[in-house]
Amino acid sequence: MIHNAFKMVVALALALSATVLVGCNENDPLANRVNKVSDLGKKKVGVQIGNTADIYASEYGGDTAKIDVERYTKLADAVQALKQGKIDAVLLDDQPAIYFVKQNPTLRVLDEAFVEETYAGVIAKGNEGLLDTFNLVLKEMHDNGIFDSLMNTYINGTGEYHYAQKVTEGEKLVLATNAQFPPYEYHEGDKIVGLEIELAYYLADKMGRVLEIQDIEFDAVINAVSSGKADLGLSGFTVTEERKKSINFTDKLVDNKVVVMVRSDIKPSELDNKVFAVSDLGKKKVGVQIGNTADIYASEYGGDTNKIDVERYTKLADAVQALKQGKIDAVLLDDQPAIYFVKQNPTLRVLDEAFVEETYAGVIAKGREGLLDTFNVVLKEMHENGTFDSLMNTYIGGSGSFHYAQKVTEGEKLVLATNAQFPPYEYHEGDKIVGLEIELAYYLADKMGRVLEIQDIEFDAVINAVSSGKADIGLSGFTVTEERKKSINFTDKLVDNRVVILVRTGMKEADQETFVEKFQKNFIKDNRWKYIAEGLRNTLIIALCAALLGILIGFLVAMVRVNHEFNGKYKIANWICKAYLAVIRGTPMMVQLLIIYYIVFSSVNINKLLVAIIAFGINSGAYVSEIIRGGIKAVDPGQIEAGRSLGLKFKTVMIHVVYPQAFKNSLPALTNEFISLIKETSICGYIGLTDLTRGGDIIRSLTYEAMFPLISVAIVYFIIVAGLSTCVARLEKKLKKNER
Amino acid sequence: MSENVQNKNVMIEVKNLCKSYGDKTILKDINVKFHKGDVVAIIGPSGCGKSTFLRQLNLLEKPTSGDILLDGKSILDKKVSKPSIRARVGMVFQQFNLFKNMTALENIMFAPVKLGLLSKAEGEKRAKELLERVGLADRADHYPAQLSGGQQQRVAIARAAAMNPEAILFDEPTSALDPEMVGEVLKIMRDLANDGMTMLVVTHEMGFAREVANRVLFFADQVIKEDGTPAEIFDNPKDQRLKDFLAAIKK
Ligand SMILES: Nc1ncnc2c1ncn2[C@@H]1O[C@H](COP(=O)(O)OP(=O)(O)O)[C@@H](O)[C@H]1O
Ligand SMILES: [Mg+2]
Repeated sequence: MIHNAFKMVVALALALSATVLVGCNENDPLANRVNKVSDLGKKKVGVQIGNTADIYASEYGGDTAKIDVERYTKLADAVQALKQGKIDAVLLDDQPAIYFVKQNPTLRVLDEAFVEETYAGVIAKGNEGLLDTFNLVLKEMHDNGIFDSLMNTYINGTGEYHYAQKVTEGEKLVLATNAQFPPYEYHEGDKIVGLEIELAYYLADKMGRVLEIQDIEFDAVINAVSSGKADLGLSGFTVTEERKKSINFTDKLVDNKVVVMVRSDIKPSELDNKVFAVSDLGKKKVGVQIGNTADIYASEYGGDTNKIDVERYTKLADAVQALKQGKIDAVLLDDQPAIYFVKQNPTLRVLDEAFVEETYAGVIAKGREGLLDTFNVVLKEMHENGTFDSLMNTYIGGSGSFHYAQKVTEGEKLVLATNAQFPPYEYHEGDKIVGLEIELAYYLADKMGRVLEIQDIEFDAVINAVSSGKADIGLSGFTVTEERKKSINFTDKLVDNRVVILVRTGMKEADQETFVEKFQKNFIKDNRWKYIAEGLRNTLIIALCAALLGILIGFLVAMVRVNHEFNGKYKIANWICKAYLAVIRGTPMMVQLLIIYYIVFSSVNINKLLVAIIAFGINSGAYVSEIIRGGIKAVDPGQIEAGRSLGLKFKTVMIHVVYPQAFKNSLPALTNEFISLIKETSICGYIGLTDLTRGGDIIRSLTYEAMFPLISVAIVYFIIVAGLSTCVARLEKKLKKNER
Repeated sequence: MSENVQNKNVMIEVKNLCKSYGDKTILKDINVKFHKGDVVAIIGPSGCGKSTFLRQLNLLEKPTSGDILLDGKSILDKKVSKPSIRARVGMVFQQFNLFKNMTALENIMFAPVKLGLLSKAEGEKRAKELLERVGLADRADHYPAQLSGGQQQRVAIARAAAMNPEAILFDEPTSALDPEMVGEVLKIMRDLANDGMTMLVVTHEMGFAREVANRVLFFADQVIKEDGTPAEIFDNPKDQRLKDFLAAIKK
């Protein structure tokens, strides 16, 4: 036994150290790495000829730290050279940089800008009439919001406004540009589009002229304008004193930053599996949460030929973890949690394109239309008195700090079922469950004069809990679907939701946290160790009580069966016992637990610890009874005969002679049964009990860190089991003294 | 009434006893009486029903028909409790059957104390005396697994004796022993006989039967073939089966 324990310790230690090693492996520091602006000296840096970056780069670093500037006519070529490792960085304007990074996940932009400047259009000296017109029209566009709309479309990515030329006949207005500079001007399909292009359409319309676009090299644009070949030049021109000598600049169009683009750490081999748009999802490994509508949509996507390889997780945090580790290629999830996850994990990003749009509502059991009405009335009231908007601002807009706390503290309960792993709607913060839907439920409970009780269970169990009457309402970011409507009623709409796509960025994880920092984060911060402590307490209570119940049941069943075998008594009881054994041993523990919670005690408001104790006790009893029966049958029948021959009652002989020997015979098997019972309690999370395993899971969902919570949970289980084994080994040795 | 007076010394009377397992008849119409202080050796070929006969006398087996009287009263009467009969007729088994979870001392005192015949202190005192008598005073705290076969059988005899039974039944008490241990067990049995204990002993130890028993029964062909003193049975056998049996044993 001690030998075995030692072996397990060694194995565990090896596993632990392997994890630590993997966790700490550093990428080999590339010699030519550019991580900040000051690294640029003596590096090969690409620029576009004529761009202000060219000028700045050439002037940078004095004599000692000069940049080795490589000049390209097209930005795309510089980007290509960077990707191939021919140069170490590209200096370019921020908006095109963002665009290029989106297209090339192996690239990234440094946070620190190289230079800040402004863009303006160029018009030939002597053409002050056109210059005035331009500035007037620009002002008008600012005033009537068209400029902002274009900014939203092209720069912020939040709009879809486009301006198309209306005038189709008449004099021409010639625009010179270099349409390789997204999002200001670039090719899309066979058209040239972009912010400056649409601005020019608007100007042309105002002037009653037809815009003609001349797409030429960047360094030729100013020439074209000053020579009169073109009326106007718009090509992301930075305002410089040098240029002012040959042309006039219009009023400022936008602010610009020259940024540094470098290669990220993403390996090209990973690129095959990357997702950049919804259309890339086919045949990819995509994570979803079981029961979430994303699961349904993802499973239906792509027909037979382009199916998504859907991986289902009970916890979103697990899916995110898998994405981070590269086990899956994307996660489909609701937009608000996605934003939250990205905040926690800078190495992830959300694609702009939504997968599906839908709405959230609460769920209430059919037949409880009274509660449904109340809910909807209260929700309406919250909308009218502004409480709902305030909560939205706090949790979704991020611009408020309003919170609603329960005021009623005594009286009947209102039971809310939720899965508190879905920020910002419901999640753990410290040792509390918070979120938009939670506070909404508090408000509702107050209005109803009841005390809210929150049951934190698995997402796929929430609707069941509500329809079975275990909970009064379910709020867990439920999307309204026709399928679900069949089993429950939806409340009025709570919020709109988009199912979005979460993917990895090219970025490397920020500085590796040290062992101590990770420990702090997982256990010390917010007293997170308490999840483990509470879980341990519950696991011990469940295992201990269930073991006692199991022994009791097992003993009774064994008695019935042994009596039946020895003297044919208890025919019906024996039959019932046999049926019990067959059912319990023929079905999984997990299913039994769910049946006992959702079906047997469906309408009773029963303590979950008690449910678990009953479920595990009943289960264990079946195995214990067979172990005891085997132990009894292994006792020499001569023992009973001798006892009876002395005039002792059968019962006396059993109690004082047979059972003690049977107990000793059964001890090793009973120990094994209890050890597996302790470990089996780890499925308690399914009925929302914080046992040891779920305690670790909650920490995991808060820290996005698998190693510490899981390993520590494993160690705690191991200590319990090893301790138990040692005690039993001692007991066995003591009992062995009556043998040679 | 007159029969009762006539059988004053009769302790056990077996009347028209038949025993069969299913279709198989083991014992057929057995009639025999045992008297107080009798030491009866029961011999016969293997499988002839000696054990079955003995086990019916303390109700470990139920007769198919017939009756058994103990001190003139039927022990098969439904009103008579089986444990009370068994308490009066002790049994020693071939395989000793000591309680494995109890020490030698506990084995001896357990039943009398449990049945309220003796207090705990008395029981312990009596057990110690009996252990002394079977020469195992220093083994009181040993468990059966720590004792030799001969020692275990001596404890088993002491255990039967502790109940102060009216008779003790021995079913091949030395057959499972190594030859060097047979003597120590037979010595204890001889002592018991000398003390006047009524004993029915199924045995293959012809020396013991001749020396200690005052009566020998030969079982064969489902009946008692011969019933007599050791001298009659061993020196002057009449039945051919008995002659063959004794000849086979001598070889
Ligand atoms: N419980 C039983 N069921 C059926 N047959 C039995 C049973 N016990 C004994 N017998 C049979 O009865 C016969 C007599 O057995 P037993 O009394 O043990 O013989 P002995 O002790 O003389 O060797 C044997 O043939 C044996 O197989
Ligand atoms: Mg026999």
